[in-house]
Amino acid sequence: MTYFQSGGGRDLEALESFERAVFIVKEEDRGYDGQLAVVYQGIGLVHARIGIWDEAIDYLKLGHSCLGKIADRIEYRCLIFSQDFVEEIWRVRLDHYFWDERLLLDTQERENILMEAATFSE
Amino acid sequence: MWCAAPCAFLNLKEVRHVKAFATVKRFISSIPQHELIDPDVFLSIANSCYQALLTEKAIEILTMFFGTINRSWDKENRAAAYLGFGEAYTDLAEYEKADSFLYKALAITDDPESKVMVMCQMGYMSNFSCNYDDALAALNQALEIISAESGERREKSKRWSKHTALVHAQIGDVLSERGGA
Repeated sequence: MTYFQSGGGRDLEALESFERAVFIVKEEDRGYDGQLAVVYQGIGLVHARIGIWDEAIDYLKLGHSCLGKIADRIEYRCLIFSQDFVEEIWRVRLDHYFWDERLLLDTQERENILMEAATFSE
Repeated sequence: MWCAAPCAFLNLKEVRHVKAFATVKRFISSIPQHELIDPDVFLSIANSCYQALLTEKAIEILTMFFGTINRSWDKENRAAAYLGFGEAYTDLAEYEKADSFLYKALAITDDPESKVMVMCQMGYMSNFSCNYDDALAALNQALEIISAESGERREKSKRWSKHTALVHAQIGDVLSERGGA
């Protein structure tokens, strides 16, 4: 069992809820990047749990980049949250490396994934 | 005298937390008992402390202000302060205290937007304390309040759609059991 598979849960329903939230934030409430980051994090982690690694990473990176737009240093929570993203990207990539059987046939891709995990572990 | 609040904000912003808190204390002690203070000022200071992860300081500020000028507050400001306590105690994993403050907030507010915020916090807290059914119940109640509001209000208020998105995001969180996994 992978780190992210430990949760189980109603993943598809969760994704539906997250997607509704993304729709509202993007269409009705433009410019609130902090909230978008939270939602992308949720989507990323659900994708990771169901083994859609690349999408998981895409969403986590998207969330992380949303946080980059919030420059106010008073938002300490934001900094901590940003560190969470880095750690999650690292964990997802490690999970991907160890559990994606397709990678057994693709040494180059395995190496790329390990390198990315290493980048985010620093 | 009123420059104390912006001064505290500035210190918090520049990560001089001890100085910020000393300024807030000076600010509070210099206010005569009978003088009315704009509650927004200290609710903002408490919120800034909370955002700066000074959770215990936020609780201290809310407690001090509650002790001194409680009677000058209207219901909505008191509800906002109770919500502040609820958020802070959730952060400290003191869920029973958080729960009691959130119920107090819910009991005194008449504003649907505040109710949604309190229900959201209840959902967040229940998710963290692994009470997923309670979390979903609170968040569904928040959704009911949202859908009962007229479309006109929802269109007008940007904050309102922010809350709606928050409720959906939190439902997603609970369903994926991310908080308790």
